[in-house]
Amino acid sequence: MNGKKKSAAKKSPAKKSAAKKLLKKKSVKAKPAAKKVAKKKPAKKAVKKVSKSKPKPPSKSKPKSAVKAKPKVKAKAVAKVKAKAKPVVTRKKRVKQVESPALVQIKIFQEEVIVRDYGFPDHAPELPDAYLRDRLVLMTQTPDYLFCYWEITPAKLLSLQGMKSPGGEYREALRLNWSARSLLDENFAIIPVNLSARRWYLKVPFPGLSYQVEIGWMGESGNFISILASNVSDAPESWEETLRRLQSAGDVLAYASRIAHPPGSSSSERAMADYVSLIPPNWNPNTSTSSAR
Amino acid sequence: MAYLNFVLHAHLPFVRHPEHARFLEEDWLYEAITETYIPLLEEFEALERDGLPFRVTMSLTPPLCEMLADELLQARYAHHINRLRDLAEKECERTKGDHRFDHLARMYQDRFERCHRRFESLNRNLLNGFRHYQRKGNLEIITCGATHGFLPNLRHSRRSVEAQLEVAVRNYQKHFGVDPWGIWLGECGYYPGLDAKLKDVGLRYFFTDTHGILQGDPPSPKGCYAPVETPSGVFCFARDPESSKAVWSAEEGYPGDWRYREFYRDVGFDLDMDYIRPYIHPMGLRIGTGVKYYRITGRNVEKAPYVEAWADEAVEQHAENFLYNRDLQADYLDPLLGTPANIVCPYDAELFGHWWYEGPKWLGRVMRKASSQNRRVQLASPRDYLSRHAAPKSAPAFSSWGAGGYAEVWLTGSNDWIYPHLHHAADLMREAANLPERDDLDRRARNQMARELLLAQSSDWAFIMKTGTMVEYAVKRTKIHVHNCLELSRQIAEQRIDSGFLWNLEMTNNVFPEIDYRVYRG
Repeated sequence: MNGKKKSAAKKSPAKKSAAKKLLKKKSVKAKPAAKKVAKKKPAKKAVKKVSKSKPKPPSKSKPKSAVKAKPKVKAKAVAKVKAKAKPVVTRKKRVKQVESPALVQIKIFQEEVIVRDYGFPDHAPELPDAYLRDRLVLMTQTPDYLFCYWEITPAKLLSLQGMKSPGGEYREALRLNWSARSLLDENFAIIPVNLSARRWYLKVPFPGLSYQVEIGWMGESGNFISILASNVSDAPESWEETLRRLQSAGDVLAYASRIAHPPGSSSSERAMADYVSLIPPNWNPNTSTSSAR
Repeated sequence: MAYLNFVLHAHLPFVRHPEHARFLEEDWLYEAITETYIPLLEEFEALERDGLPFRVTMSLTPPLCEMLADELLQARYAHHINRLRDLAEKECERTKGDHRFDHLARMYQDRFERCHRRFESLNRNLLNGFRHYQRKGNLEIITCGATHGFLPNLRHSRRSVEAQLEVAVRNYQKHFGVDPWGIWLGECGYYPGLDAKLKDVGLRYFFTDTHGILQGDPPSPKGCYAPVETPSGVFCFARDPESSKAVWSAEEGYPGDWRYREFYRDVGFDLDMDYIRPYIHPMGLRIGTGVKYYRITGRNVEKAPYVEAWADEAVEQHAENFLYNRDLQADYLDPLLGTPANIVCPYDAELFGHWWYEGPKWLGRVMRKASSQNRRVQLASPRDYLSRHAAPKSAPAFSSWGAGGYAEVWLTGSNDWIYPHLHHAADLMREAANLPERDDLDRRARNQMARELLLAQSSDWAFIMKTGTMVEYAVKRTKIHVHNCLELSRQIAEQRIDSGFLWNLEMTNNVFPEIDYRVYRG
């Protein structure tokens, strides 16, 4: 297989969706014309003739405003519009030309054009930046990373301002909670963020556990004022742990785990997410010089 | 002895642009019809003609079924194949006397003529062809999420996952007249607990990637070589890594053989612009036409002309090699398992024929050999296995078959911006569904809102944003469908539905005419 396909497959061995590979070829640049193929004389001659009467590109549809401009059309009117919406068809023509003196018949293909007076707009509208709803969602990405996004309404922020101690210093932060294996183990971490960041990738301290995240203010005494809490999301078990477990779980599992493609990783995303490091719970905003990305 | 489950996942996103006479992305469907779906049907027909009891499983996704059954797209495909027939005729004339290429031009001419005849003989609806083999018992057709949503990323809005499943099942019933037994989860995306939702809509089995079962709780003692029974009683089959690698792997896989047809050398790129113009994009953008004269040849060498006889020889060798290795696999696993291994070989259907030109022929050859020769592997469907054997209990793990094995293809820096919008739109949909229905216009608006939401949830858009090609189109589709949802939600809430706006959407995004928005209630 040629290099282009191979490089694509390397990134996601054996798992690329071929249906979607259909998309890739569209971006392939035109390669230089094959000399041997393009040399063919009849084609060259044909081309000259053809170029004099190029088929017209199919006409574009009418703007949809034609349809939109009829708000509140009643049933009958709608039926009328529907009836109008029959295909705009130009009949197929085969134009014959005679090339003297060789008398080669050249056909120019012209197809029927089927367009409707409804369809997609030419440009996509911009989506709102915010929906004025409080929301913090935690999503699973890999065994090592979770993703969260949030929206906090001004009303929510205002209602919780009173929770802060007067004169106290606070930093905006995420608090990642998990169910510790024992009471003595850590069960949360604080990650400083700017509330306006709106989305964050979180490094998972222990793959295979359930997590929840809160967003709020971290006080200098270590107290955390929660503005919003997320859903619970699980981080899958790490592949390394699975391998360790399965190597001693009988011949079939040991064999299968050896030959299974280990779930890989993509370096570019990791590099981005590595900016987010776990901050120990006793982190103090007044002494720390590190800044969140 | 082992069972061999071929599972072909046939999917394309719903791309239908009535406003343009020719639209680049619609070609995905036309190319897949010419290069994959019809060649597969031809292979099935050849096997049927010879009385061979082949078994194969195919997921025909709801958007694909809807497109194959759509009259506008059918009419446009008829033009597409006529265009190719015309090109092939011209190519026969142009290459006449050149023995390296003239037989290849005739090969394409023959192929396009056959496609045309087959398309017309099936009343322009390829589903008729697939239904025939389903009725004969050779083909097990399964469904997929309504718009191929990556369900692990949709579960954060209530009813989103349920609606993807319920709409899919209803659409399957419409097209195939029976209930589906199995489902191909979009991108094999699974999360613990999804099995119960599958159970609720009457599905009996699904597929995960290998590690979905290997990381299961507890791991099944039979690994990926037997399905597991999930806590809800739905069965889960996992991909066999070895047989996958033989076909998928770019380094070691069969499709990279030097004798096979080269994908990227296409007359759409190679020939003089004035000559090829009627067969490429009307705006003069060079695209693949499907007429390709070269073989892979080798790395960093000048491509040499395709030789069909050599490619046939490779097909024969690779079919034999594939089965030889499955026989060895059966020999190895038999004593370890105590029951016949079930080897699941899932592939994207469009790999066969579109990318790997000889793929359908290879598949036909493998099925022919497996059906007619004394082999240790036997073709079967998941349903066959379940009717004969019990499955150990286990809860599969979060997994997908994308790069990395989890969700990072559909949740990464380039596409994570879509989820606040998708989740919000889904919340609005549920809220609209829970309001009392007022009149017919109101019901239509809610149904259309459901269509728009489902179309926005297609995993294809996030995938394209990640891969970096055709990104603009994927972004546009996402924004448009979300915007339509927001707009309809506003109109429904304000009880001021713009019938012109609604009609335009109904005519344009006409997927799932049978949809009932009440799937979002709850």
